[in-house]
Amino acid sequence: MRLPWPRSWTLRRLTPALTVVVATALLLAGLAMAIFNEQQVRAQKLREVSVQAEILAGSVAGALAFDDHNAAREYAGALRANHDVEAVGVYDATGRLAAGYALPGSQLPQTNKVGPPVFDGAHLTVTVPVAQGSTQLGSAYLRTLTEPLPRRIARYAGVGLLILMAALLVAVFGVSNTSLAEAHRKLQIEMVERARAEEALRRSQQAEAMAQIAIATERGKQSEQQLELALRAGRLGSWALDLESGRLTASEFVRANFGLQPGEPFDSESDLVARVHPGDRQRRQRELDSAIAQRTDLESEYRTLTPDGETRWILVRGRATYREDGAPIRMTGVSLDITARKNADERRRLLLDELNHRVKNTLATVQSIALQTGRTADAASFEQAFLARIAALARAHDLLTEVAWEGASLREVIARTLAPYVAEGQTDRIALSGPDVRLSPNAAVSLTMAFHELATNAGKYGSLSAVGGRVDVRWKVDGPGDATAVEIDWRESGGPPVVRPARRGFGSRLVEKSLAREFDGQVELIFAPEGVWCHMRLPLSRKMQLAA
Amino acid sequence: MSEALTGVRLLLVEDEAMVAMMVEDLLADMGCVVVDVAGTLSRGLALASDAGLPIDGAILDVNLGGEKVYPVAEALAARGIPFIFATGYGIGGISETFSHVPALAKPYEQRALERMLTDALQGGREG
Repeated sequence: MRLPWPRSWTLRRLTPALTVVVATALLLAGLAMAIFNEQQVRAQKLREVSVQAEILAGSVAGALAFDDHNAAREYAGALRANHDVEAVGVYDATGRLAAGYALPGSQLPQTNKVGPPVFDGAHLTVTVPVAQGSTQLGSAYLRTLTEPLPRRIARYAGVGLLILMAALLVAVFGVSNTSLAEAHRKLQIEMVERARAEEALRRSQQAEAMAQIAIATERGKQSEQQLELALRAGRLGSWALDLESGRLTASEFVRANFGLQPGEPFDSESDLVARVHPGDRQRRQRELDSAIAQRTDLESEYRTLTPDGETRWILVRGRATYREDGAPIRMTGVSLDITARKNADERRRLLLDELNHRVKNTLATVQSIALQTGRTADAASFEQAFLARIAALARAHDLLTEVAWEGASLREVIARTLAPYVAEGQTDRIALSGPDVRLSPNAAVSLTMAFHELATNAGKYGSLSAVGGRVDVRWKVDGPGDATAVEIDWRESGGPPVVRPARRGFGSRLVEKSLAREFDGQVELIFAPEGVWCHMRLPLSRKMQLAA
Repeated sequence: MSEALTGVRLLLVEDEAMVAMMVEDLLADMGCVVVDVAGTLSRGLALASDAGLPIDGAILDVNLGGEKVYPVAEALAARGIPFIFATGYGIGGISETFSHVPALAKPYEQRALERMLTDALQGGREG
């Protein structure tokens, strides 16, 4: 707010000067009035006195003509009624005083000469000729007080008082005007200051408000960032679906969860549905409709097909909002890529299935061991043989467990199977050599059982039954292309002369026939006199592979 | 001995040597003739497709060292030879295509094997 400073300043400065000017003008006017008044009074007095003098002259003309001094005295004396008249004289033609009087304090001149009226101080002296026709008879002298001093003083005092009052009025006006102007000035200053203060306050409030907005914005940003971080950390996408228009608003993470390329449209429910696996679309719609209708939280898991052809699992959680009339407006929620969890679930399920399968297979193996052992051994040896075979099976499982049922080593299978048949400190009786061949669980079990039969035979009748006897197992990977096979040589030496068994038992059957069938390979078991020799040629397959 | 199964020529596809030996013995006890035992898918498929190999039925282990036996099943079905499955995975582990095929749960039970095999062979003959 701008104030008219110059006008205010002029007014403020002019007021005392104006007061002085007006007072001076009043004084001058008073003075002029006094002078004018004085002149008026004088002229009036002169006329009055002149008239009185003329009257006296006229009155005394006869007396003078007849030289009647008494009559002249009477006429002159008549003027005593007028207290202003101080002296009256009637003079004859020679200028000699004929009659007259003078109040105490005044003197009558002895001779008189006609002349112009004379003002001296407060006195007026008028001389007029006394004539009859053209005859000069003498003269009349009249001396009066023009105005008594007190009256004059009173008169001037009145004027002075008027002027004083006027001046006072002017002064009071001026002072009041000045103080008014001062007050006005102060008011103006105050207004300006107040305006400035208000402006400052407004600015500071604005600044504070802006600061608070900034803080709030910052907080908002922080919480937004925190939300963003949380969403990012949780790989959570956030979305909102307008249930009336079908318009979809999805965050970057939703798009990422759906494996969308930048710029790929994802703005409507139909865009979304197009990405849902056809097999899951109906279920998704059912779950969505149900959540809206029953006013429950939506929780839906479905597969999506990314533009790359990848299948992902998405978990969607949401909640609908409704108008007062109950119509659903929108549904907002989050989405999460749960492919990893689903895969883990799937792996767990597969593992459980696999475990179940292996347990069942193991039980089938145990069944088989029991049956075979029972058929080929007599009652006395059944228990020992059965327990030994079960123990071998258990060792195979130990080994498989150690390698998490993946890729048991051929060397380990053979070494562990032979270990119980060699005393400690005599491990040099056994020599194993060959490349690192890895076995599937089934292959590991079958080979364990086969080598167990060979080792048992060696321990009972073969090289490991005599001091100094030994077993050498060598294997190599050999053969061209598809026919690549592992050739395993089991050679016993240093044992007693080998006697060919009368009938082939479980061990022979397992090693020669069943093992060959399992691997689709060839196995020869030769009971040579110098030692048992077993040659296996087992093609490389999923069951048996050369370690990478 | 089972009269219904006496002399029936069977193909056994089983990848575990120990189990195969037992089933072979069980089948022999029932009077069946085990024509051959295949431990691998390729061997099984070769035998099943061999028109010169006279077989009346088959017992197929579903899982052959990580491979499914279904190609063998298809070859047998194409020839009209009845078969049953044996599995350690349970009935749920079998493909929908062969959900009508009887499945024997491991470990084997002789009576169940005998009954299921009898039913399958009769069904096959009737069909």
